[in-house]
Amino acid sequence: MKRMPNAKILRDYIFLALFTTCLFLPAKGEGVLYISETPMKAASGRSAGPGGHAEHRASASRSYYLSAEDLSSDSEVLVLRPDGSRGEASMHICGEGLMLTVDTRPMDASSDGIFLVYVVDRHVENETLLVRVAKLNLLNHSCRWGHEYKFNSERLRAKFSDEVPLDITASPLWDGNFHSRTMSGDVIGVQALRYGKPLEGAKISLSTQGGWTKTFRTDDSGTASVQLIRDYYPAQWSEFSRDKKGTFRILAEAEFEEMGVLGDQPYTKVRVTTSLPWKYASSRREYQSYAYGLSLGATFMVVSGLGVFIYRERRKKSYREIQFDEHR
Amino acid sequence: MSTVKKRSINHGDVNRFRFWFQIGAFVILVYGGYWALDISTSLPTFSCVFPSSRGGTCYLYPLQHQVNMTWKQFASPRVIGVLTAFGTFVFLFLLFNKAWCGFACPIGTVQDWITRLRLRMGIRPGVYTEATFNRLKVLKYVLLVLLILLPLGISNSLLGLPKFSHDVATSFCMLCPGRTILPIFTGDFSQLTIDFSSKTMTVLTGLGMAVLGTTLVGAFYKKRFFCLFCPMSALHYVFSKGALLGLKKDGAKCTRCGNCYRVCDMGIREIADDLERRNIVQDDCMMCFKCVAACPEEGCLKVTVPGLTVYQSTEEGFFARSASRLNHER
Amino acid sequence: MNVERQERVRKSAVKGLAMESMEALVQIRESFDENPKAMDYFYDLYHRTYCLGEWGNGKRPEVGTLCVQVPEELILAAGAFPRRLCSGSHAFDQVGSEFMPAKGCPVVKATVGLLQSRALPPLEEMRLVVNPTSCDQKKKAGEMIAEMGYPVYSLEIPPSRDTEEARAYWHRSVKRLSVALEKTTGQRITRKRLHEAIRTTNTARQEYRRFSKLRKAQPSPLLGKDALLVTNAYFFDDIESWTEALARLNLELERRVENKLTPAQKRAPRFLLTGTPPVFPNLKVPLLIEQLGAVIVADEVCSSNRLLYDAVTMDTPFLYDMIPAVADRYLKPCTCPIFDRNEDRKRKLLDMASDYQVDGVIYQAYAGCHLYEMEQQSMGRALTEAGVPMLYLETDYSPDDAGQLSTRVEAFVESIRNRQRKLEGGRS
Repeated sequence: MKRMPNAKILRDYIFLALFTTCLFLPAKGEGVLYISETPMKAASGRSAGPGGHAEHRASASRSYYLSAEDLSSDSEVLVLRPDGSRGEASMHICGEGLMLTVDTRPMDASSDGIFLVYVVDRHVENETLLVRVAKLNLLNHSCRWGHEYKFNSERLRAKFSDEVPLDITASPLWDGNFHSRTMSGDVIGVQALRYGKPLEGAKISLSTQGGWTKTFRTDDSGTASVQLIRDYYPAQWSEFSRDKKGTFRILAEAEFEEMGVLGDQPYTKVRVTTSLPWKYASSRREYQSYAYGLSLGATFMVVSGLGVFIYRERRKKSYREIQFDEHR
Repeated sequence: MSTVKKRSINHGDVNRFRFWFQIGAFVILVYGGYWALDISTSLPTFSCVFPSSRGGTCYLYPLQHQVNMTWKQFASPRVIGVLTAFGTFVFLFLLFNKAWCGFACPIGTVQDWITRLRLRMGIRPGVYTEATFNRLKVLKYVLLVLLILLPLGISNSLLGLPKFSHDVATSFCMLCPGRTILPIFTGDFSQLTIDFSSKTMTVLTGLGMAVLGTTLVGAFYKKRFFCLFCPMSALHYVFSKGALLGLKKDGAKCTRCGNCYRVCDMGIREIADDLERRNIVQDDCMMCFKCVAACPEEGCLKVTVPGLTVYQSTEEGFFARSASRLNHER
Repeated sequence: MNVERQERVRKSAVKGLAMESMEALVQIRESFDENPKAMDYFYDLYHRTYCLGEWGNGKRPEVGTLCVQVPEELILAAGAFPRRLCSGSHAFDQVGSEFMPAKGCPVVKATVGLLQSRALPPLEEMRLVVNPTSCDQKKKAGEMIAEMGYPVYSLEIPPSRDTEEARAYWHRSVKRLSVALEKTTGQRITRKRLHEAIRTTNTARQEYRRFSKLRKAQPSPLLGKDALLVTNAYFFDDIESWTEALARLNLELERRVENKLTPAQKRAPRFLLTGTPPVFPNLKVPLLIEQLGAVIVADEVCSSNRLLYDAVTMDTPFLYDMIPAVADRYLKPCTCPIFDRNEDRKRKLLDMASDYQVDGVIYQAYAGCHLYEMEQQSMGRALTEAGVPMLYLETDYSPDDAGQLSTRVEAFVESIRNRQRKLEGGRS
């Protein structure tokens, strides 16, 4: 099995990236590494907007932005296609930051489903091995292919990789049609896994674009669950858009007492952080009403039922004479 | 076909056959997805797109999506997709003609079930007068034109009007009782709501619920209440002449006894009174073939595919059905 | 009219009826060979009722009908016995002449005469006489019959049957009749009873259709005079026993068809009889035709084919559907000339002419029946255009015109035979 696709090219890019950006970077390995559909830099300047990728149409490749550009030369990219095979990705620097491009060919139904994309970055600092994992669930789907995996639980399952130091899965994030389905108010189940084994006591935090963060720890099966809040409050109802999507990030952190050497740097401790971004829409409950719907339906049933009844009752009376309007 | 086989078919009770066939078709079209069935996304019948377990999709949904293009795009390769879907629709329709309505349409089937409920309760059905019938039957053509014009008006400015909101993209689906009724069969009640997210959606979902209420009551009193307004039926009729499955009438054998007209769920008078036309399928016909079963004249009404008569009216079959029915009721 | 005179009229009418019936029966039975054995039921039936006066029909209340358009299923469902009172008796025709114009229709005259003389026992027990407003003379006769003391119900018939308005009008009219019948007999027309009635009549009609089909055979297994006797018996016989008797006859006819047996000559010209209804004992024209060597293989008259051909179809076994279904059966396929447009009769005649492979059509019209007289021309034209010769006969119930009719029919039969010869000559 080929372990690192395009490893050489990737490394070249990363060297280039390090070379051109190290001057501007304050410290190496600060913060969390995560993947985003929209450029990071835009977030500070103009608003990111709804943007995002089309979920109903396929494309030959999909591009993402990484939150940091200070990746070490050891960093790896791992792509797992829906059928379990390895996929390919490349990284390069562009005006808007470090860009990750995942190859989603061939554009046919064979790769219909969720691609797992991981960027794993490692470096040692103060005798601590800092592992930053950025995970992404890539929806590779076209409605034109049909929705043949709709009831295939194996294809639909949120997957993980046992090659990743700390992996997280979250569900439900998508529906049977491989369209994102998360809405505010949903309870999301999260599982943390270390090399494929459930990890107890991992610190999980979920933060939304708006700044709300909730932190909790996984139980003995490595799982925890959290309810997504509603944080979209337009001033006027007329400004409300049901298509507006917010983003959230799930972050898992764990520390292990472990000795080892990375390159020529020894470490005594391992600290892993893994991020998983996703998007969510307003809950249907915010703008859909059963009460109004059912009462309107019932009203029409009653009115038309009564209409027929009254018509029938009137018909029981004997034939009525035709009357002419004298003013015509 | 051997004469014995032919006789047994002509003696058959098409109503019972249709009842069971409809149940089979309903299961396939509404639950077929569970068996990974996806017959086509251009089905010429109301196999609604909203139940996620559907086994095929009603053509009106992709049609509304596809005509949502700018005039320029109509001259681009994108039009190939539109034409492919349309071609599939026409092909599938031509195979079975309007029997899609009588034998496959899930909304037709649900209405037939409601009619059965009414029969159980012993309540008499409503009958339109001829004038009302003729007035109402025009509506389906209006709906068909709107169904194409509204999505066109999203991408293009029609007659100088401002472009329409994206919310009217599948406006007919929002009104169609298929959207509100069929998901219920899969345990999804989410379509029974009013969507207040925009004015257009509020109006459309409100109308949808109104149509649902009226359809449920309407179908209870009037057989196949909704079918008279169905734009799919209007679209069918454009191609009906070329279809393989046919309903043929031999005017010379007709005594105009009106049996066929009286049993017709749609109330089509031409079936009894038109003596000239050989192809007797009308725009409201759903090809349920009750008329064939009710006709006592030998070979006056025939169900045909090219080169073969599948089912035809026979004197013997008529009396056999009548007797078995009368015995059954005893 | 005093009681004494009434009694005298009654007695002479009964005697006259018995005599002419006897004469007709003798002619029917004896002047032809090879009458089917199963016809004996009908010969006996006529003998018992018309000659011996045994008109009994069990204990059911009697409802008289004066036209083919009275829905008999409703009468049966209301628990009554429907008796068609249209008469073919010359004796009653003469009684009726006192009330009717000299040039009136003999069917109406004879019927009025029958009711006036109260010659038959069932007339004393008539609970209701249903008189449809079909032709003008019948319509008006209703008034006279009511004056005689009968409970007359006037059943309104629309003058057209092509429009939906006419159909709706007729449905309403039939619904009113149902209510009137229920009141008369005191028995409600329930779903079950109406269903049973439809079953009874449909079985009879199915048997009649089988009978008609057998008459299509070449050579014909039966003479028309017997066929008309069979259908005429439906006027007054119990429907179930009638159906059984016809089934027996059909069995015999089936054997005849298999063996190619015929009571007529092998190549007898085949005729279709249409026009005013031949009613026993007035089978003058059919007898004449067959005595001259032709055979009537089909008929389009309201005492036979129109009475029995069509069946009731319902969609659901509910009164709201069954009553209109019964009503439709009496209006939609009816080819009576009372309706404003009658293209269907033309089509029916043409269809029957080819279906039964007839050589000619005999169109009889009773003097005074204006509607059949009026329709004669257009029917004749249509038939001639289709290559079917038609003989138009104007006649009545009196035996006086026998000689003149005989000459005309003979000439017609001869011309058909010539035609056949020519055709065969041309072929060989």
